[in-house]
Amino acid sequence: MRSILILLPCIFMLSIVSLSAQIDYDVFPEVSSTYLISDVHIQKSPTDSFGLGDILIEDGYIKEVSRNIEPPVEAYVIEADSAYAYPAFIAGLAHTGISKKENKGDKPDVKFQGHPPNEVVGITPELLAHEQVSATDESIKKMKSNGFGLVHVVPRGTMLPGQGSLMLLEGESNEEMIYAEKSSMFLQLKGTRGFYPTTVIGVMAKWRDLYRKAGYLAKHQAVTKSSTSPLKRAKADKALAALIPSTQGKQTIYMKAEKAKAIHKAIALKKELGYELVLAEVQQAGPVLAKIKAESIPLLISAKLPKEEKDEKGKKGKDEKGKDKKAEGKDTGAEKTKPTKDKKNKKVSKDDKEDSPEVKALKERKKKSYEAYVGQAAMLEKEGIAFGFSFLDSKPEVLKKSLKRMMKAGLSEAGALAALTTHPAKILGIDNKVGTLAKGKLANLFISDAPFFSDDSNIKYVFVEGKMTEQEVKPKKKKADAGDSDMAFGKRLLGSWSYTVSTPEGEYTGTIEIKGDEDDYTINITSDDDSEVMEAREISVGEEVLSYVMTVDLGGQGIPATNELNFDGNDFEGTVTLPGMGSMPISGTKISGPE
Amino acid sequence: MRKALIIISLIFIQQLTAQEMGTVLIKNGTVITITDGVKENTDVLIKNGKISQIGEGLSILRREGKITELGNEATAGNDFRIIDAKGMYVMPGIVDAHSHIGIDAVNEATDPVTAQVWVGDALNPYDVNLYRALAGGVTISHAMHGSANAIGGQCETIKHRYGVEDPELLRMKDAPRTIKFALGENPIRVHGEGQRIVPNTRMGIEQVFRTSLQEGKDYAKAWAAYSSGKTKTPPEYNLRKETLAGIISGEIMIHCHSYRADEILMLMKVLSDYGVDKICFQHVNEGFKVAPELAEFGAYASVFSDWWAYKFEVYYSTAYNATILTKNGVVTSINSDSRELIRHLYHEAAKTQKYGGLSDNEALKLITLNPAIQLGIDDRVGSLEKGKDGDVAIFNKHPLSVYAIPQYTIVDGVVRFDINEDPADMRIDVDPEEAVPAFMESSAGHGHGHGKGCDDSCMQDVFYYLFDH
Repeated sequence: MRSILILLPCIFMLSIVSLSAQIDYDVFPEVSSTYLISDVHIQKSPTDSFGLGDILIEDGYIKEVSRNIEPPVEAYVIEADSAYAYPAFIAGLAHTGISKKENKGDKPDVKFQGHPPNEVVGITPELLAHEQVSATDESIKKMKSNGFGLVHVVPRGTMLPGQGSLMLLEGESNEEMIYAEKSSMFLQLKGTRGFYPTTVIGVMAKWRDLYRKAGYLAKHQAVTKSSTSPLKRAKADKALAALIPSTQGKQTIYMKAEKAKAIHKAIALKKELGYELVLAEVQQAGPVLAKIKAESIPLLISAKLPKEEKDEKGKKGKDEKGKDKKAEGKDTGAEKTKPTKDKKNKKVSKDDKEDSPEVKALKERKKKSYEAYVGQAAMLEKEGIAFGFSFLDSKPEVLKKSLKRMMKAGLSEAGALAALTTHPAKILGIDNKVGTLAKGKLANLFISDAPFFSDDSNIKYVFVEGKMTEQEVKPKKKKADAGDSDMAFGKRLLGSWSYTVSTPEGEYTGTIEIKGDEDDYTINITSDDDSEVMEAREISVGEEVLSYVMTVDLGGQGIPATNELNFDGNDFEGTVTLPGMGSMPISGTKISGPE
Repeated sequence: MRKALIIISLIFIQQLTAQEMGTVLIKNGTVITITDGVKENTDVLIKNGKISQIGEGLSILRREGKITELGNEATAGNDFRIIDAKGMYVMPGIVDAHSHIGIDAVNEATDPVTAQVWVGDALNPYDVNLYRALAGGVTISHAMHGSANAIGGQCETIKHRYGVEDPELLRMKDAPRTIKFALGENPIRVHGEGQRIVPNTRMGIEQVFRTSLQEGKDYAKAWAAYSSGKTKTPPEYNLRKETLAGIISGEIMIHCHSYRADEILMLMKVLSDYGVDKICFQHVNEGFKVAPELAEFGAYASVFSDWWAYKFEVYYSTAYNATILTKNGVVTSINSDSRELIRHLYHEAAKTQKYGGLSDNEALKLITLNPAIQLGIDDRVGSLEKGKDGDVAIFNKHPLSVYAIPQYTIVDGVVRFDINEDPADMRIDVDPEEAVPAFMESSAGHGHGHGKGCDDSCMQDVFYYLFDH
């Protein structure tokens, strides 16, 4: 049995507190900023496993990493008893600490769609991320409990949400958390429905316009400043002023670019306008690799991977094949009590028996594509590209699971660790301060009760700038990973969900109300744009999947829109397909319903 | 299906070599040159992407593993291909002067003037419609901004190099810049009726043109003053005005969505006032009414063969339009504006033989040399001539025959469509989470769409602006 003992030497006496006891800092205030973590397996860097040793932390920095350090009298001693210490993770880009803006559905009062005020279309480069961070936001705790110590935070928003701040996940206030500010400019190829720019071509044109305007503004300011003759002053513009540093190579543009096409666009703009670029949320770097290499563009890849559906189904199909046949022969009545399962089983056997060569080939291609996505990290490692992770669209809880899938696809453990420590540190330009457990580095680290990548490891302590937080270790529920509760999917579906459909014209939002029970659902869809309620038909519920058809009104024409939603706990993602017009992504979150 | 995968992986390998230029020897075909008559039993040699010889008894000599020169020895290898076109018809790759395939966005419908946007920013090499167009012998299309705005965005002339993944490789490099203008109902509907702003009438559209061109003119003047040192501080930069200035200077050519004769005359008058002398009218259904005026101005016309009546301003039309325009000396082309129609432009051209009795060469010019002239690329494509790009379409029958089926389509000497190797699934990019069987037709709907609430692809992306306000 592994037991970790914490020795808390106070000035006059040594008291020993066992691991299971919670430290209540209100009662027991921190009296020393010196810690000695002893007898711990030390992963100094992704490639350097130091073995068992001790780590001495003083005033927020790592004072020493070696074997048999004599505990200073003022030190808290943490008897780690062969636990594992890792450099705390670094998130290359995230919205940690910034809550989602409420969508009130009000249309802004704008006279001309073509000339909206900057804020209406999400052009707010003057905003600073740390000013929007709340130190008590739940997401900070979550990042931290998953091993993160420092996050490059950028504001939420649309096209140009604002500037990034490097935030330490420790501090009473947002200001205390700041490690560095104005560390980046955040850009997304995301338009606003109903206003210029709406489409991707609008956003790209607007970006060129703003960027060049900022460049000329700087020139204008320089001329007026140095000239003795009376020259017309340039008009003040906070957005353009905020963009000037990026035009002078003093600020890097971080751009969200998930798929290959977006990456091409991002690189084309960078080449044309000539700024420093980091790509974030990358999911499909493969087809753009040559360009990424040629331009040496740092990558932050997404921790989000495509659903494992294909593989799991394949396995289940095989496993259940025998069972199925038995069940069919023996007792079909028992199956009828579970309609969803019945449906699923039918599907499996249908897949096995009736896949036409065409469907088989389509599935094969889908599988290849799936493998490319899951294998992206391994491929980048093999190509010698130092990448980090960004968490704009994924939660830190999925990280370990995703990492393990990436490792199964060939990513090395060292590669995975580097992507969370040394590589993002380098990309963010702070590798001399964080990312490894070495003397003189910031004391950002976590202690896990088992090797991090083992299935049953738990993060017990996280140190950020030398300040320790003990993590609550929740007893693991088996099979609870499908959602937030053990409730059947059919029940969890019930309630209201918000949705956002991304179209070339911008985003459509609204609410989906799901009522009824597993045999008979009623689904009503309301758009935020009007109060008309649309009722769904052809409703079908599968394993964490809901599909239905609704009629959308396009200028008096009723067009059937097929919705395919994949659920993951309280979120869903999927597609809306309109005949002749293609599919558009839809995503959403639960607003209310049975807990 | 394994064959499909092999071909697809071949495509991936191909594209690592950047802009690919191929070598093909087409043997013993009936060669329709467009500019130099029809040559029976003739070979066409495309070397490194360019037509190097048209003649009889051509072959390729390989010396020390390298293609050196013409000679007698000919064995196809990895570096070149020989196509036996005996009994087949070899013509220049078809050029479509008006389409919206290969792009992810068509209309930035938020403003009556969006000269600053550019569909070339949103090229989509994964669009399977590019392959479908190849299967119709089309090697080049003019990917246009839509017609929601009086002055829409800039367009892009693309080569259908389906198989490449880099959007940059779709561009026809150094093709002249073009921009979309639109007359009539569409901009009025979107902005006048939709937003209650100018233009709400056809008069309003004229005003938008005049105001915008004046803006461009003034802008160019202000920058000229700055670069000559007359003014010390830079004028306020504005990408929209910079683009408009490019129209005045002649760097950017106008392609204008148009139907009614009165408006066509109006725009020519406006352009004369601003010294702009090049324009291609698109659709131009009433072009037959003002054909002499178009010819006198030197304006081009790109029309449908027989597609009309999808909205009020498009009723007064005739299938003789292309013929009347041609006979009046207007450089005329037939376009698709549709991902479906683009697959059989040769049929569309053939209709001018029924309606107006154009000669074979005149009819084929409508989909080859003439659209090339309209896009300013006729020095490189549109006919089979030595030195031109190796863009070729090969048909089993005469391309104007109703029985004609394209057999091979070649772009820059690379065979991009081969009817003998035409797998079912030609998608390049596959969604790892797609529902299988995939909804393959999701992007196949075409612009005809009489019953679909849209008149043509020109109005893609604008539902919101039409109906939600």
